[in-house]
Amino acid sequence: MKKGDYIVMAFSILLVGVLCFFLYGQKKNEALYVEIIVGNEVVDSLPLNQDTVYSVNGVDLTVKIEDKQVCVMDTGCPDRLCKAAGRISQAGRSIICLPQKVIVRINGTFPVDAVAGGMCP
Amino acid sequence: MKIKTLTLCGILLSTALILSWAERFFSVSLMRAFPGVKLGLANIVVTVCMVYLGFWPAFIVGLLRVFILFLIMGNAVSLAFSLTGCIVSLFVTYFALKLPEKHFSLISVSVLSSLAFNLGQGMVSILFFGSSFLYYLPVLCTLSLPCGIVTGIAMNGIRKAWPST
Repeated sequence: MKKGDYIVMAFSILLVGVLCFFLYGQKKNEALYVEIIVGNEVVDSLPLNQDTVYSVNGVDLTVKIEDKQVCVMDTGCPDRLCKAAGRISQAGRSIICLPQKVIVRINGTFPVDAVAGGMCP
Repeated sequence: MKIKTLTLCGILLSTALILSWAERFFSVSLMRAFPGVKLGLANIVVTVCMVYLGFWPAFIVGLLRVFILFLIMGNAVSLAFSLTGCIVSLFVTYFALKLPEKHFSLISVSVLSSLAFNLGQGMVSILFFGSSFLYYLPVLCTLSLPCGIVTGIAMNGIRKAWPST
């Protein structure tokens, strides 16, 4: 281990730090929103960090937001798969009620862990 | 190309292949926790090849290693990843070896080339997976530091044991 090696290591740590700062630093203040989509239109957008109960206009479906998680609380569709989907909290996830053509989606970029598994040689 | 160089290239290539196959057993837990992270033992061979035989033999050994490894156990996506990472890190290794030997040992070379490997991989994965992969890049780069140091120590050992060209 020579003197220059320590310089190179310090430089690498600095590089990683800068990378972290730029990638993670700005991510923090991006608040997540729950989008309610009926048909092909976004009818409403609710902040994920505010607990509410919201009934969707025009269809028989109620959405509950609690502890930064969303779930379908009540639905009038026959199969009730949307209610069975349970709670979602990550960006990019969605609950879909096919009979009533309703999509409850959390916007934002999808976290990488589900995707990086594919690259392991 | 001299016969001696050719033979050495062959031996180094097969050593690199064996190492990249065997490192799976060393780093299983590492790979499970962080997908895509490897120790990079084969990098030792490629760098040693560049130190003793020059840039082009190392380039050929590096590329052939990636291709043969792909034929043995890879898929097309992992080929694109390793190929880009390998080429980028080969160029960085070439320039890192120009650093004055008095102050910089092979640990520097190894750390820099493993960083470059990850950055190269990062570029390709953005093409494949979109920009959301960027958030995984700091993890890879942070882990490339200890891995680079470990392989660098091994390289220093080899250089000490094999001093003549």
